[in-house]
Amino acid sequence: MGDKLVVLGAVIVLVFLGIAIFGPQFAPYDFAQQFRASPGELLPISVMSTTATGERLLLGSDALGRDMLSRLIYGTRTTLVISISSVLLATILAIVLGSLTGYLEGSLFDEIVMRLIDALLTFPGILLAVILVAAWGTQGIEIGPVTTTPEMTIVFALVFTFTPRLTRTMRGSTIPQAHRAYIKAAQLMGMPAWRIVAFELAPNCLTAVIIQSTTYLGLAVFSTAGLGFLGLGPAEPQPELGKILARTQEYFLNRQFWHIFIPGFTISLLVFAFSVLGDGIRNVLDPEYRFEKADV
Amino acid sequence: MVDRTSALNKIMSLLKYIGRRIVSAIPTLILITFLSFGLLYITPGGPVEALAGIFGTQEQKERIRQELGLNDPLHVQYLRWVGGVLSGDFGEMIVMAPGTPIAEMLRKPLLATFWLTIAGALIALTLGLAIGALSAIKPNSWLDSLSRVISIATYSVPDFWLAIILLFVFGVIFRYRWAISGQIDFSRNIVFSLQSLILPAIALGLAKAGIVARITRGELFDVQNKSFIQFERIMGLPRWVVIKDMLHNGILPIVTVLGYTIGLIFRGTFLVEVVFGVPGIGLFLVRAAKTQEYALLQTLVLCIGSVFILINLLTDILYGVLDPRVRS
Amino acid sequence: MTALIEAESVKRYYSNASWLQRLLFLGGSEIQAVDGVTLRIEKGEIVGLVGESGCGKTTLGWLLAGLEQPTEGAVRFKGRSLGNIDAETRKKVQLLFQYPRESLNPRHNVRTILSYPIRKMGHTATADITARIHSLLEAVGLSARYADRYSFQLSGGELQRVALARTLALEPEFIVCDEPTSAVDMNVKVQILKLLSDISREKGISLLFISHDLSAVRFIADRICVMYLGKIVEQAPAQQLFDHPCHPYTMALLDAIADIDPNAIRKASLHGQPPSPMAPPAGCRFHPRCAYTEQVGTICWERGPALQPLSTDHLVRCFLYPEVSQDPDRKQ
Repeated sequence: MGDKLVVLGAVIVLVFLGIAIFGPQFAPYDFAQQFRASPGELLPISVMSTTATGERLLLGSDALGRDMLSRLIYGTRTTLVISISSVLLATILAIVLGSLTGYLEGSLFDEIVMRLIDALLTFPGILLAVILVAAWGTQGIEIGPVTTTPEMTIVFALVFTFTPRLTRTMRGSTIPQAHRAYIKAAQLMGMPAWRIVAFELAPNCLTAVIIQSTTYLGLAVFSTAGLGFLGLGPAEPQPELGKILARTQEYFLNRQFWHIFIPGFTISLLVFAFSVLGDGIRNVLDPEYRFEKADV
Repeated sequence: MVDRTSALNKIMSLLKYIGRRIVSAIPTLILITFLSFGLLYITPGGPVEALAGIFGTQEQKERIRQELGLNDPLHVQYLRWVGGVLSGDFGEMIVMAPGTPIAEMLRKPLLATFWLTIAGALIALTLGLAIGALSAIKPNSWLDSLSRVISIATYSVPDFWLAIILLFVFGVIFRYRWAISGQIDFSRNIVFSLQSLILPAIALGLAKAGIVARITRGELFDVQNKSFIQFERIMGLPRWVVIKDMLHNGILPIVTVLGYTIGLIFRGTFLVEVVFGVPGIGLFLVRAAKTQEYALLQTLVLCIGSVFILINLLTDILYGVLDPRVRS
Repeated sequence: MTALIEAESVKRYYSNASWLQRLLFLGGSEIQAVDGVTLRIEKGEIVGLVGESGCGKTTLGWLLAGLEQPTEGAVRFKGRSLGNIDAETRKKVQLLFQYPRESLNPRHNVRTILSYPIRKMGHTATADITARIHSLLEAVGLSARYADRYSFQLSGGELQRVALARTLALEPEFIVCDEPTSAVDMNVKVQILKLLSDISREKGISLLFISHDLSAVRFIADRICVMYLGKIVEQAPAQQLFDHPCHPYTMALLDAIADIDPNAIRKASLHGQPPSPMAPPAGCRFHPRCAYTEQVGTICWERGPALQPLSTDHLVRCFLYPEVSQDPDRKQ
């Protein structure tokens, strides 16, 4: 049963990646285009509505008359880009920090970084991201000549959330390697520390952190959507799955269950597929693994 | 006599352990104050802009500048801020309720979130422990498979979506007034508050039950595979004896699960609070975030950090009470 | 004349205190791995270092290779302290590790492993590097085919040869060989010992050969040091040590090999485990296991004997022999 689930997860992930990459090619309309039922009147929210100009919207429109299907496609794209890039960046950062602290175990640098990480870990899950996005605001920040986009702010916040635990994992797998003779041999040859860490040490310590980061993809989707849901996502009119879900509360009184169901289900499906796939990858790479509370 | 001294020794070692735990929590607490204090300084506009907010008047800005003493060195500013916090002065609200001291506004949200956490944790623990224990007793049975499916399903479903669906079904379709009120305030109307608590707690509890079940299964699975339990099995002892011994040895894992679940639920409350409009810490936090009410945000960061430290501390202490081995 | 490399009353203590404890001067417990060793090695000389595991011989080797810094005392290479020597000279002191599989990065093939030290020596052209790799492999008795193998594809003996090639790439003048033959079969062991001694004779490289295997040391070394719990207890030319062991510990060690020969007369035997270096015995560190304590008397646990000469090149640390009063090593 386990293998079938993993295959299912892989298929779902592939489909979603396809949607994210090729979405703009097959999305029926622009995500910001507002349709009207008649001149001056926005489309009613319903499944399969037809506009004044004759377009048929497969999943109807949102409260502003925008095509729901197109927004879902672009929203998936936004959510996936944010989640994947934040996990990727966090993993890279964790590999650098973890291998350095592991190599310099017990040094002041290690001590400072690890204390900081302990403090950041006090705010688990997406709380830290909420706090950081709140502090930076979602308008974008000017850093010298560059102005960050709200998406970048969210990615930064998520990187802050994921890096601490990934760094711990990387440090944990680096420490035993750092004491092995081939590292001593490199030191004896007069190899500079940066080279030892980058070429000798880090490549031998990657398995654990990569396993963990694949299981974090589900969490990243969850967190991105959560932020969007709280109104801390990308700015309008950019769609994002959590944001779309939050707006469905506006249609409550129309009793359109379908509309409430779809965005949430999409998020669940993504989280499900990523976690199952992550578990599968882990089982292949690390057969002795046991589920731990640190994974959530 | 001998018993009495040994009992005294036990209590002493326990007290020492508790003392050590408390002391070891202090550095983390200090770092949390750094984070919370530093929050103002990482904002795009700097602390004055941040505190005054978009609607701040020139007058307010001037007063804030004076209060913060921005010309002083950073550590002086920090110490002044910590001094304020220690004497219960968290600053004033500027956007949401101008002029109100934050300390006054904190009590009710803290209580609401507290009750919501307790109720949610109760549901998650009841379901999670039951499912987890059942699947640990009979691994690889249909029960285990079923519980695994349930676990994965609830793990994947975001709590905020579950909350929306519950709200839709009970509030919109069945039109239960209590379902949509979100008013959890036991000082006013106990029955109504209890009713309002039901749906948010279910949303939280259901969404986290899967994770709790998985952890329970993992922890109990270890106990079960210990050699003496295996021995009892081979000896053909009645099943209830085996289960009793397992539970006796499983109490530590269950404490782990307990502490963890409370943290998990507390973390989940803020999204659910937003959906149901429960005036708790989470809703407060999100509103502070949206209106950029930084003094409040700072306070909440401090509060939430302290609560997590407290939960970890209590779990550790409970661990020490139950298992003398961890004390050393 | 200054020796090629010399250790002057070096000590290496390990403490299990954290940096915070050290900062506050709250020491944890201490292990005296190496406790005051003075040793000189001349150019081209092969010195054997023997002792039971845990006696500090590996630590002494690492100190001489500069992998560890002494807590007290100094290690000098060509008269200059190893701690602050220029990188160029530093490379001339190398170490061959006990487990070659551990000492080679599992992710790199032989070519990559050898390229770095070759480049360090100033050969940067690709053809140049390839030629160097082949000549190095040949020098350690491997064919050029080995350049593209990974460590998991090699046997223990081949691995040690690759490790030796990597060391030789830096054209060292002194190599610490830390039990290089403990992980290989008997016949491979002989080959490697032969290779090491040939290379040493040929290129004039000094070796410190660390081992608990007396037969290996006898085969290769010119001079032998016997170490017990952080201190050198006897030091003599190889032949003389085997013919006339003077310290009870050395006798016991030799006796242990002789045990295999049923006709050998039991002179002294070694019982029990060596005491913990965390709490070494008072007085002579060997007295709890020594067969001669009763004969010598209470002095054995009252104070520690000094390392003193019996003849010009034979030193021993035991009260069995009359003390020479003006011994500089006495303070220890």
